[in-house]
Amino acid sequence: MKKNIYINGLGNISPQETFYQAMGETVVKAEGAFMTCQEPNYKEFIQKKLLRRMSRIVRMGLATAHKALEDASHPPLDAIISGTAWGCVKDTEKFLETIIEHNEAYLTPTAFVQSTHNTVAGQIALLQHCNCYNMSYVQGNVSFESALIDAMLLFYDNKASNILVNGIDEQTEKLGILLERLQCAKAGERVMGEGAACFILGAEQTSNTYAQLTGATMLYRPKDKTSVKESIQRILEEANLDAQAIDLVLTGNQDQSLEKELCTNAEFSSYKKLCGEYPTSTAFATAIAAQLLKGDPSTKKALEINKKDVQHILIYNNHQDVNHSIVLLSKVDN
Amino acid sequence: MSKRIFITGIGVISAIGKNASETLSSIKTASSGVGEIQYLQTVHKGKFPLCEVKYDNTQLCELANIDPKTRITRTSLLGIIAAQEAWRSAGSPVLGDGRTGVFSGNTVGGMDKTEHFYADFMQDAQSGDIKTMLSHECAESTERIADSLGATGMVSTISTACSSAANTIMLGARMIKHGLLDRAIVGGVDALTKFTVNGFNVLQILDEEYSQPFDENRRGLNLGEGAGFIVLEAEGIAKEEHILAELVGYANSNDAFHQTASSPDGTGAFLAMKGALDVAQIEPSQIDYINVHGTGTPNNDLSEGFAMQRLFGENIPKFSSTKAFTGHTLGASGGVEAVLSVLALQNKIIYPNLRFKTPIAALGGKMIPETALLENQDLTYILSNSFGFGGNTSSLVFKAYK
Amino acid sequence: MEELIEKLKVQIIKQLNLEDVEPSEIDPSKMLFDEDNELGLDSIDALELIVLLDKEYNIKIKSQEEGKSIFQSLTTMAEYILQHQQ
Repeated sequence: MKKNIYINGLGNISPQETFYQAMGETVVKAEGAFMTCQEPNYKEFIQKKLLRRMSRIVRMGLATAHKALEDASHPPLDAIISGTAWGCVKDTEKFLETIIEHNEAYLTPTAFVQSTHNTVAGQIALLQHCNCYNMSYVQGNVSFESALIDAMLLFYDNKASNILVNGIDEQTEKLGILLERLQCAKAGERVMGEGAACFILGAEQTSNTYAQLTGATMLYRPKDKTSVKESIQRILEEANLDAQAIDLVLTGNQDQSLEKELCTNAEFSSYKKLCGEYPTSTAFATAIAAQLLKGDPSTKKALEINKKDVQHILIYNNHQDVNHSIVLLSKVDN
Repeated sequence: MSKRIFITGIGVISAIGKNASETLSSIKTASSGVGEIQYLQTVHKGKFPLCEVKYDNTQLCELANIDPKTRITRTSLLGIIAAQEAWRSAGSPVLGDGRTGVFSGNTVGGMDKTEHFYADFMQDAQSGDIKTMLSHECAESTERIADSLGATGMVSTISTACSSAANTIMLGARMIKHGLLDRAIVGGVDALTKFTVNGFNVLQILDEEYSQPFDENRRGLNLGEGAGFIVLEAEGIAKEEHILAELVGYANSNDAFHQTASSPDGTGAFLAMKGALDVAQIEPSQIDYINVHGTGTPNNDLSEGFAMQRLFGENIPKFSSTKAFTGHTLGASGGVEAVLSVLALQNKIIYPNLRFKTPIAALGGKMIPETALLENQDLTYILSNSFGFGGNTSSLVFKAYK
Repeated sequence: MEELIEKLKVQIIKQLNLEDVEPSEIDPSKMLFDEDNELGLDSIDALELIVLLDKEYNIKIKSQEEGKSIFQSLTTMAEYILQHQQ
């Protein structure tokens, strides 16, 4: 059975100042080929003796989880679902480098243990003493969407009242070199980013609700443009909306013809100018869309939105025409 | 009333065979896949055994019908071979209508290629074949599998350490229940890499000899590699002649005790098993056989044993660990063992827990796995456990289709 | 012995990534793995210490069990190194 799902808390670490507020006073612009996160003081949330073993992605994952839970007034969690494409890059590099440098000798377990893709979801469970459902998706550019869809199914199954969902990816210096060599990162053209965005989804609206998650889907190698349009229309229909109801499209795409053909009443904003390109960037888009729907003016300004009243936001990201993802958020009456 | 989920295809490759029939005959003749390292390039050769798939990458390309000059990881090759077998055994349905999902689990993606590239990269950041890195991500092998089958429904990859494949089976079933898909090809794959072998070695949980799951004198696990996939189809879609078994229960939980160690009382394991029985709406006494996680490490087997005692009390069903045959295939293990569970139901057999001698004293000395192949067993329900680092625990319940 | 203990402190801080811990804050006689010890070391740290002994002192410790008595405190560690170093 379909059900209403609400975003009741969030934590967002990004290249913008989004951790302690919805959006910083000044919008950070990309310089060069990379944007890196503005990180909080982790000692505020994580014990020193635990912090020493954690790489940046684990810290970002845990800090945003802490923030989102606090924001939602600490509901008991029924599931923890993580999405990350690159995983714990730093620790993977560290362990791999020691293997090669010392010819498989003098290895230590810490980097290996923390290199697995489920480290963040596992650590959240550990710190929250949560024996509940725990999952980690690693499906490239739809890792976050995979997590969202899993969460939606748990709500529909009546298996959950509150679920933590995140989308996290970290950059490292070495990864940067690789991305430049792969021509994924190019100053001025294609800026790579990183970020961690965490959400507490709830089956009930609260006084803190940001928005309603009205739909999400992902497509694999759709046969043509029409089938993508049909999928978007299906998501809209299920939410009892039509394409004209969309006020704003947060797009991750260079070529925006499809969304422009479909959503004729909408404004369009490229969210990646704020966070850079990275596989779970749609989690950042979801966070800022939620802030905007809750009425935050700074987010609206950063996205250069003119419309006074935004009711429905469509997030659409197409990765190399292989993985497409669609997330639909709607305003709630508080 | 929600739809029943049928298993209509199985495919497996591991150290004990390149397909389901070879796997079954290896088990029937008690031939274990553990042996001295032959294929993996590592300084540990001769120091401890592994359960390698007994083919090099060129031979695997042949098995997968892929040009050996193709740039492809061992992970993808193993995955394609097992997934193709599963698809064929399901009657080779046409998958291009967007209603078939492909969900695969793995732990280190294309690391087998990455670690070669990285040696060059460390010498000079501009050297090495950069395209290798395109196959590094965990999702790559899943997409290769989907493409080899022509499947265009949802495609996703799960990485929850050693419970990855079990979780994809659960995901596929839930997607079908909700009508998002008619069919899902689910399972997992992992190839042996220096990365994982050294990781487990440094955690000091590898056995220098052949592993002895659930034995008092167990010393650790033997790492393995392989892939196991099953085809799930919705009631109404599955053709009667292809139905091999039914998936009736699944659950996922978290031990929330330690990053790598299991809790002494096996909380996560208990919750996963209990949850799977609840979904299946059956009592513990209805389980006829448990394919335990049983890695052979002192910690896992003790913790899992306690959890079994907690759930089943005095009446512990027949159980065994097939990891003494296949080694611990990590992200693939839940898929490999799902295939074994279906084969057990089909052939009415229970597998022996090789090399078991002495029951674990701390478990009261009463938990004795099956040590010989049991035939003509009246099996209805099989429980399969998969637990992993990060506290991830999952259990599945398979039912015979009679 | 004292010199070795001071050296060990620095090496341990580095190996275990003990951010914000000064060598002077580590009491050589205190139990390293005691729950009351603010360092809060655990079984993974024990494995790290095994590697440290191997890498820096060429001393191989076979099992965590064996490590337990050696890693009781900095003093026991230093004593063990002095006895076993070639």
